[in-house]
Amino acid sequence: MRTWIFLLCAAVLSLCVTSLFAQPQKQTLDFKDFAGPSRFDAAQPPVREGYAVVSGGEVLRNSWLAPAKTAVYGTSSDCAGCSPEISIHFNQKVSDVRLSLHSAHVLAISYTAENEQGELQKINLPEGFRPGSDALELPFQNIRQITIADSAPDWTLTLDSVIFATGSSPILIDPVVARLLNGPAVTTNVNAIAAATTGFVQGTAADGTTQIVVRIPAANAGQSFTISVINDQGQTSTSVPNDGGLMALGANLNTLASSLAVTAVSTLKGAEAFAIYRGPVNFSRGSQDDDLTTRSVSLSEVSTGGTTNTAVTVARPPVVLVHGLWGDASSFDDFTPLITDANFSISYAVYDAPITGITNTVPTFSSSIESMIEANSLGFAYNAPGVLTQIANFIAAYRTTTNVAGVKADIVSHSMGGDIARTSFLLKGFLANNTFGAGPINKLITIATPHLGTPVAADMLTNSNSCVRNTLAGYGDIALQSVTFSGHTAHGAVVDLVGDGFGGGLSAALKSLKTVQPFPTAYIAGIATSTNLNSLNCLLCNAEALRVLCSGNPLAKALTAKNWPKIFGQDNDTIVPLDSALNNLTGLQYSGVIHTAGLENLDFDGPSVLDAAPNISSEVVTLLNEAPTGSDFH
Amino acid sequence: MKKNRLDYFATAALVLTGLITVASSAQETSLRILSPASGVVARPGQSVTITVSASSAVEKLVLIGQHPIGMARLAIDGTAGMVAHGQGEGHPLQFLLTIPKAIQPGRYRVTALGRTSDGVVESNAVALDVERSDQPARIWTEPSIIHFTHVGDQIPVRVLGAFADGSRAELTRSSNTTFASANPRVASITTSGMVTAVEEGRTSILVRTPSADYSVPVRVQEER
Repeated sequence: MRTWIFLLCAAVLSLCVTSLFAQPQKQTLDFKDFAGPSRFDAAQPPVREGYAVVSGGEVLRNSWLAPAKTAVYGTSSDCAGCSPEISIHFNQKVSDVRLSLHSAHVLAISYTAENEQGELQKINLPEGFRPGSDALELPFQNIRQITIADSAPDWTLTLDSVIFATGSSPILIDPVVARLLNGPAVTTNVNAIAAATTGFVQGTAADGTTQIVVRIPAANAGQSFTISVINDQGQTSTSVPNDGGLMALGANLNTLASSLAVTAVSTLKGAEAFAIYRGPVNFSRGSQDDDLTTRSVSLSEVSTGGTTNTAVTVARPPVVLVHGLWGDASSFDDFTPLITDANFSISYAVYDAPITGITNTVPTFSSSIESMIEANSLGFAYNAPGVLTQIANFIAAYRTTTNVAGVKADIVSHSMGGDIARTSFLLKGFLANNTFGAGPINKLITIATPHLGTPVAADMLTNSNSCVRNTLAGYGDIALQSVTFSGHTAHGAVVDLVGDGFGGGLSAALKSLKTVQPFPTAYIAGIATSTNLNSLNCLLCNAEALRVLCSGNPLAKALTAKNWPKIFGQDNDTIVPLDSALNNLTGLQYSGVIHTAGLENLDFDGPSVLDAAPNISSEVVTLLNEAPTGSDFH
Repeated sequence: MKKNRLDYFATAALVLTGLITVASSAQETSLRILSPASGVVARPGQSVTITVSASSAVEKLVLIGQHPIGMARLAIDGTAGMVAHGQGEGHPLQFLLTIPKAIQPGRYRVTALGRTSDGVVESNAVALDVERSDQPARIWTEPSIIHFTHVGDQIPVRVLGAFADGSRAELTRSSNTTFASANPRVASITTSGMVTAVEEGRTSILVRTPSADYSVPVRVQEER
């Protein structure tokens, strides 16, 4: 019977093949994976889950408006920026939509249907939705959008548990979310893939690693499909790096191609064909993409029954900022334009948690100084696991909020943050299966990172500079060789940063990184000039106070415009030598900048490498657009 | 004359390491912050007067606030700069500590450091509780979703707030911010916002300020 219908349909309509034979699947949008307040405050970005995009309001959690629910979506006149109208947009045609709906007012309901020719028609439900009901049912086909509007001046409505049927088109599945991995590769178990009800996505990050499964409903086992990648010019792609590529389940990555022939097989859910699409290696193909948040390709699936096209969103990988020694997320507060660039999904990996239960430190500090010790005073090995966990979580959050697959992030690090990012590669869990065994770092950009250490570190730990060390500890800048707490001893950050800056005298931690170049890395270095140092000669100022208070300490004596550069014996940003920041390789150099804004408390003059003024942030944006194989990456 | 806590500490430990030497009992040293009391609330942009008692054995002293506050200026008529000299306990010194306008709410440690002929001494520490006078119109967190793949892993939650005047601030360390886990058996959270995965399951972290709240979904699902 199914075959008969198929033949008849194929003769008449080329596009209906999958709609007749697809296995309808129910999807539920319940908002429980999204954060929000318990009462209305301000509109959120659209919520994307599976095929649905909900906009106009915000997610409420633990709300008195819906006491029996974990999370609902709603809008209200009390919500800044919210609309009296909630829209649910579907990325493909769905049917039989049902949702829980609550309001004290009569609501206007409409939906938009798409016919076989792709034409949209808006249909208003004349009766709308009346208070007292708690469910809205739309037993219709080919729905692309639903609109729910409250025209009351004090509008308030909430909805949840949006259930709808799909199955009429090929489906893109994130195998990481759907747990379809076998080791670091996508499973070849077609029944498992056919049974997947989670991980439906709209596309993938352009990180050259993420793979998504293309699941194509078929009329019968043995039906052949030719899948092609269509670029954003509507042409069949000729570039796997730019547009992504296809391969068969279980195939090797070196078989990626712009087109692929697959044959449907029998599964417990019916006949289906499968392929793997791996996204582009880089988001930006050139200046035309530099100002985009996403771009797109499509997959054309051609069979004897007709052709379908599946849109695939190509997104930038998320960006994670990692601060440095004694820093926190606020270290990047002035790092514009990057931090305000809406084209990037930016998060901050922080390691500034208080360290408690301290029983000993080397050097020794007073107990009140000990109480100020945070993780940002501890070494690479202590902080790398936490930073790696955060990077993995930001990638998971990115997948949820953007509804695209992704397993890697671009890392932008300041100072010691770069050493910590590199140290993460040495951790057992770095090449996790859920990154397809490639690790979660797409490319690394280090800003003023002491890859080869700094002579200031050793100076800070010497007995002869104890006064300077204790004074700086008063600021919270605590130079440690080691800390013992809660039964174990960790390296201090400063001892890990010991090195002469030329490549000699490296700490054990830096030695362990000497040959590590696991991901494409670009280096940015700052170089201080006399304009950054002249204020050190001030009177009745911080620098003088330190010189006076700690007279006899070499570092205090060096705190003059003339003496400070002598510490390094080469260009430097007042803390990190140039060769160290460039890891004895090539990189981008900026003159007239200091290492960090915190140094202004000692009368070094900014701007710092993280201030907006030197335009290093703009350069980072350029590097984020540059391919990992570009000339600035080693 | 009562020796302060640091004197004992330094005498007992630091001298052994050779890092700091302090005045011996033959020449008593006293360096204390007399006011304000620890925990006093200060506002961003405010200047706070700190009164310090320093014995005459303290040849030079400065008053330092934790980043980003920095060093205090002397508040003595006709005296400029930051370095004072101990005047004896009957003649307290006053410093003016300026709280930056752009500072995250939270507790900031202030201490005086002095130098004697024998080394460095440190005063008692006082904490300034720097809090804005207004409350956030809304708050949110970074990250907004927490997905653990290993029990025992930890992820810090940062709390951010938007205010009626259009400004934003991180509120993680504000004394007005509290954290709670809806199910500590799945994920626990410390008072400073560090979430720990305890066992597989789902829960949420509730963040509260006096004017707004926010819930963050947490999932603990072991990577297999």
